[in-house]
Amino acid sequence: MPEPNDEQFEAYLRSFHPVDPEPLPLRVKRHAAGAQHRSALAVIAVACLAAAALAVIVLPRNPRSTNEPLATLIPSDVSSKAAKTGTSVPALARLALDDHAAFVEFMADKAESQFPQMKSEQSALRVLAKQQESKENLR
Amino acid sequence: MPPTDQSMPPVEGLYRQYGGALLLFAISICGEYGRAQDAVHQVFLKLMETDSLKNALDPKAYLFASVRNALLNDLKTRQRNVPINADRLWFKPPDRDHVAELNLRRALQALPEDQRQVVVLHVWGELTLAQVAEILSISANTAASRYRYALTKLREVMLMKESSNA
Repeated sequence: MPEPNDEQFEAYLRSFHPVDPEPLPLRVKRHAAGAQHRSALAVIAVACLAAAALAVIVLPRNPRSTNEPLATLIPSDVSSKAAKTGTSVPALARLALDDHAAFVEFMADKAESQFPQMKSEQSALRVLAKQQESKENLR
Repeated sequence: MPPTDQSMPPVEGLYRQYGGALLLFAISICGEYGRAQDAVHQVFLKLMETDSLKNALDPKAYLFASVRNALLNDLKTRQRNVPINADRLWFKPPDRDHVAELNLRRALQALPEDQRQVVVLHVWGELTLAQVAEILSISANTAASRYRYALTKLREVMLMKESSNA
């Protein structure tokens, strides 16, 4: 330290520089806002991807016009084969929306081919009804 | 003092230029690093919101006065005086002489508060004694005499510390 002399002593004191304060909290806020912005963008991107994936799964893969009835989109031999082996729920829903009469007819055919005959003597309903009737007669 | 960056907004430039001296001045008033820094931040954030600095005749003196007012208001609400906390560095010492930094800090702590404020404003705030008088609401003569007393005491204490360390 220099010997007593006001100017020298002042110069010595000035050789010590005050420490700098931390950055203004505004900058921290800006960074936080930037991080929030990035998070929001990431969420939006994920949502878009999810929506795109859902669309790929749900929507028909045939790129032709959706206004065209399903019956005309499926060749007759294919549709008859589908009628024999069963059809997917979305295709049936489309058929119901596009051509209600064809849908009813298709379902009736299905019912006849796959469900037990209700009208014959061996119909399960008839057998049950007969059993019930005989029980009542016994009482 | 670091030069003001022309590309920065004016208030941030002032913060960079005077932040250190303002922080030291705030510590010399309240004795706590954290509260001192809060006060400096508070003043600058308010300046950014209100842009009141453009109406100030002497922006530098206005900044020191604003920090002092912020701290005095804080002291009023808290109704207490806190002894100066010597844990953190106040200065970047020349040649990394941390013993000298500690001696200076202790010498400043030993000064009465009114003298400490005058010497901090004049030496590290680089304000004239007239500006110091204006900020502290005292006469120029009072500021000058406080400064002389402060300098004498500082020198005595630092010489004493140096001889005891030797």
